[in-house]
Amino acid sequence: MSASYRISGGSALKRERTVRFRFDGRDYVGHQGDTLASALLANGVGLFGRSFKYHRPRGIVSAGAEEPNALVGAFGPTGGFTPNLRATQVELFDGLVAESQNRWPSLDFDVGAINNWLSPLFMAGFYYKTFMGPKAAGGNWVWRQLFEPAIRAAAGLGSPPTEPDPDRYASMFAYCDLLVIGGGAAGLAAAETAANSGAQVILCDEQAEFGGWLLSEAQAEIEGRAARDWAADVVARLRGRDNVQLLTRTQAFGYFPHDFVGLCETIEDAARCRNPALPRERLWQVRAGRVVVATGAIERPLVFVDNDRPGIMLAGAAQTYLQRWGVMPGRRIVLFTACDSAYPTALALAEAGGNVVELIDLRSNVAEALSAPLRARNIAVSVGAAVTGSRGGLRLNSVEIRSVDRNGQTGAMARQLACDTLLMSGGWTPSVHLHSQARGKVAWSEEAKAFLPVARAGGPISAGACAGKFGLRAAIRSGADAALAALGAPPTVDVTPAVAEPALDLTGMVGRVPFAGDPRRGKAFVDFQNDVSARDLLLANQEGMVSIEHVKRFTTTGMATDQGKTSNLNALAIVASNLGKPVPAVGLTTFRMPYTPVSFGSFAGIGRGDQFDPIRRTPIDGWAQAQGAVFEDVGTWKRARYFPKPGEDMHQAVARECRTVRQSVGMLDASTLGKIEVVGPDAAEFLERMYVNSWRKLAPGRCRYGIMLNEAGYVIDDGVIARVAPDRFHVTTTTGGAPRVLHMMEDYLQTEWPDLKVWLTSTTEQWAVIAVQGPKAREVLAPLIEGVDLAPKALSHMAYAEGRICGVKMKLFRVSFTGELGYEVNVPADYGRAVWEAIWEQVEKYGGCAYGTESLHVLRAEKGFIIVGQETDGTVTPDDVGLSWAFGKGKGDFVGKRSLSRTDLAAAGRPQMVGLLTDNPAIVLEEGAQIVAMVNAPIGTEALGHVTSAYYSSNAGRSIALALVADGRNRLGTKLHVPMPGGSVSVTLVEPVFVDPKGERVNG
Amino acid sequence: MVERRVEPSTATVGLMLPAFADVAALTQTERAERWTLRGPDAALDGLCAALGLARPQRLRATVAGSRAAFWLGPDEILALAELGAAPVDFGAGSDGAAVEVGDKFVGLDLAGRRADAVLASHCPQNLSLAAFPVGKVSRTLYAKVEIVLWRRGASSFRIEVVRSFAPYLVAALTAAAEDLAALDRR
Repeated sequence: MSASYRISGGSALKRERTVRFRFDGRDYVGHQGDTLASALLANGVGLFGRSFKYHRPRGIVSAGAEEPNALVGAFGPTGGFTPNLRATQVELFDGLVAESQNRWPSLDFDVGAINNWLSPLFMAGFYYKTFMGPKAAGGNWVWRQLFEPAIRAAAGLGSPPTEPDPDRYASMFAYCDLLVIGGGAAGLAAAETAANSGAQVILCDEQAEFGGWLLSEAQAEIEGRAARDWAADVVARLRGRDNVQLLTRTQAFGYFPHDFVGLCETIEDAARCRNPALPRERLWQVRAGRVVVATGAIERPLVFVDNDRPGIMLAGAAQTYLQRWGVMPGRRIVLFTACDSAYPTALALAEAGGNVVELIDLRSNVAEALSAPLRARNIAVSVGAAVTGSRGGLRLNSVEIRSVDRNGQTGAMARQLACDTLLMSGGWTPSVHLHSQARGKVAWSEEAKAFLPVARAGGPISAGACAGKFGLRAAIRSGADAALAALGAPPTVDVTPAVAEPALDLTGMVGRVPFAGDPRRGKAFVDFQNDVSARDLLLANQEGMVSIEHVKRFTTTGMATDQGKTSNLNALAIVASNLGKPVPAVGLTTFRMPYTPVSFGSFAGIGRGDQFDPIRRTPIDGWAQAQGAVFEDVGTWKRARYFPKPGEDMHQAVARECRTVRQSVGMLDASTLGKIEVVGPDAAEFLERMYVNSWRKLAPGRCRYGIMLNEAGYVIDDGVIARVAPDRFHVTTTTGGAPRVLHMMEDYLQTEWPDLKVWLTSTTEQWAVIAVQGPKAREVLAPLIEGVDLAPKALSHMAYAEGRICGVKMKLFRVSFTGELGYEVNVPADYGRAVWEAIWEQVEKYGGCAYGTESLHVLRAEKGFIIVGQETDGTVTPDDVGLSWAFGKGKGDFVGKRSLSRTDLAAAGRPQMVGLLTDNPAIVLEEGAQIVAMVNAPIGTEALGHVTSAYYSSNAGRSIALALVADGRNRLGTKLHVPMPGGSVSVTLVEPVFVDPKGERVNG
Repeated sequence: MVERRVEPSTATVGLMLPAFADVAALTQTERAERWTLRGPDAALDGLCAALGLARPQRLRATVAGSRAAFWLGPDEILALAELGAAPVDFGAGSDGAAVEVGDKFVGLDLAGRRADAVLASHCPQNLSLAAFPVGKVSRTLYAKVEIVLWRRGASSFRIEVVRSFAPYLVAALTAAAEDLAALDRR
């Protein structure tokens, strides 16, 4: 097909630059500056897609963001596929590949179009009523399993992309005195007025160039020049200022509290072709001092039977395609209008050489000044008439016209008028979306036949057509006034430029066009995208729905991706008419963000892959990686889980590591351990109150195992705490609990005990921690350490000392989480790797090993040491896990103390930690498995408890497990059963210690 | 006598320092001593004095030679000093606390024409010179991590970040700088 609808002109086009693109497998040529819509229209393509439900052929309706029909899928310059884009907003670039949606096998021949002929079945509510399975078949099982998947496959929109998004998404936080949303006449005037006062201004517009309707205007002149030239001058002046940020292709999609506005800036695809490093979009999060909303108005379609054929378009859109993209919409053009703006459109098309046959005006009284210029160009003007139907296949070929009297009754006689294009104009609806998102109220104006924004003190100020200020002079004036009001500047003399423009009445009509015969016959579409027609709304009302919110959900009107930009007001008016109520009595549904769909990528920004969340690694991580360690996630940390030797699986590696630690020596990177330095004269008193233990009498140079409870009396954290000095403690916490413990401590200090002189500092990352555990630990460390006597009497179990290791300042803890002789070496993090390697050389001399968190878990389970979060789950008291010994004797109050005396927490028979030995020593139980009294207990049997930890212990030579069992300590020696899919596993309850029950090795 | 001596290694934070000099340059600062100072004003006066510094006012830094103190909160200061000076004696028995955190943080210098925009890409604060003047310090966010941000000049910033978050931060700064470099050249 040749580009036969392209005529001269087209202010957006660079004619000298042709652009090749492909749509539905066919190659076309357009120009730089084209949208996919304008280029296809220029190529004579009128069919853009199939409708959502009935699969009716659909063409372009609009020229902007409000487009309901022409949704396409497109591949971007980097190959990323995006479905459901509006063809009116897809800018052409060389090599663009796009496709239509919701058709099979092709757009011209679509099997799903049978739905159109079956449509009497598919009224609103059809799905809800029809596809409910019989109760006997399990309620709506049939719906979920059978009908819904099939219907979803047939209905709908484009397919989601199957490949990862190849594009980058940038973001920016911005502040300004005034944010102006919309760069048409009002927005430009507001931005320039504010800029002149010295304010910091951001002006954004969703389109590729500023100007809004000024770019489409055919007649009006401002200061003696074409409206678009005036706009270009203003933009040029704004560009020259350093207090103005101009953002084109930038949609204000959401208005959040406190004038925080989300903008999505799309980067021009043609630019991304030249530089693939460019991000696809940039999310702006703007905190604006004040906001001027100048979002204009959207033309309403007219609701008559078969108003959705390709070739039927909004009149303003046609004027826009003509002025900006040099496209003549058809060969034989008819207009159907209920307001004045179609007249200049008809004239502009005719002046550009278009074959404009007739203009049908619903109104009876039309000023001669409007119609005379048309008649002078041999364009028939029929007033008091309506289009009541259309004919055609994949393109319109005629319309049916009837007279309409002053009471809205249609005449009996109908005539057919041949045409391939019908341009309709039902009037203009102010875009109050952002005003409403900002919690602004709207009020119905009978005069404007529109909901208009009601200003709210401090809220956004609407200006121009979105505030009902139609006409260029009025829009410019209201934009300037809005800027002054927003900035608190006194009104100045009216400096609005001289505008020569025809006085146009843009009110139009709302609701359904007068029609003949049965209102239930034929489909007069209201919501094109969701295939909702006037009769669906009637049905909803007949079914008893009177609230617009119910009607909306029953019919889905206004619920498509376009959010009813072209349909809401007509739907409302039709419902009002059905119910015999005035429009405002029916109410208005909520305007929700986003204004038009925003990509997930834009919200995700850099937060994907490894940047989804910080990945934290210890100073020793690189060594572990070089050794081939397998890592696991512990909170946000990566920790080495085990160090397999060639040929070893996890179980073999862990068995070796555990044996080595008890026979010789092993070392563990414990750097992730939470650390808090608690300093001040009241430090001991503070810890007395935060932990169950006693701290006052702990001597400097000694450590103690601390248990922290929450207010409810349950264990929430544990760790060794060293008294470094009389007024200084080094507290350790679990790896995952570190931030929580610090916050809880700060919370108590600030809110409960502000009188305590004690200060907290997180030192988790200041210190690299190397645990050296095993009978050879002392020999390993001794040659490296200065200033600390490692002799057992000098540095006994639970002692703390400071000295140097390899010349580096060191905090040394003699502590053990394995039950072996052990030390934890703390050095400043930058030295962690070097000190680790020095110790490693020593460890290797003794046949020792590095071990990971998996062996750590096994070694501590062999000794019955708990892990918070494994043996405890937020419902476990210290006594439940055998830690009553830790309570300080005769101490005062502490967090959780009162709760421990609650009846159920002090009751006998609570779940208590025990050890489990399976009858078959080779069976390792599953953690979380339930424990019951009966062999092969039937389903529903109450469990006595559950397995909390289970491992194969190479040191015990068998499987071991820890469990919480009701009244467990009184059941020691008895047999219970663990039901598993393969049958019950019999276990004997034992003391939870499997190695060195007397605990002598730790004193080695 | 211990024979074995080891050297520190700062490479463990895995920093990437790419060239995007036309936007902003990012460099890692020298190793330094750092302390978290906490306590009431009187105690902080004394702790700062031990470093030869005046106590910084709200959201500001004080500087003396190569030492600096950043106000982080009503009872919290982060102090920096270059390595190698004589040990600092904060004195015992004060009502406040001085805790060594020299290796907890990694210091980054970000400077260049678009340094403020690189930061504004993921930092929700108003970084205009009027709202965030030279000398201002704020503990704030960059994307998902906490940072301490100090404005040293109109287009020159010091960032202090806890070490394990440094690779994430550097990658985020890099992405922002790369995006700006491409967007600015459009």
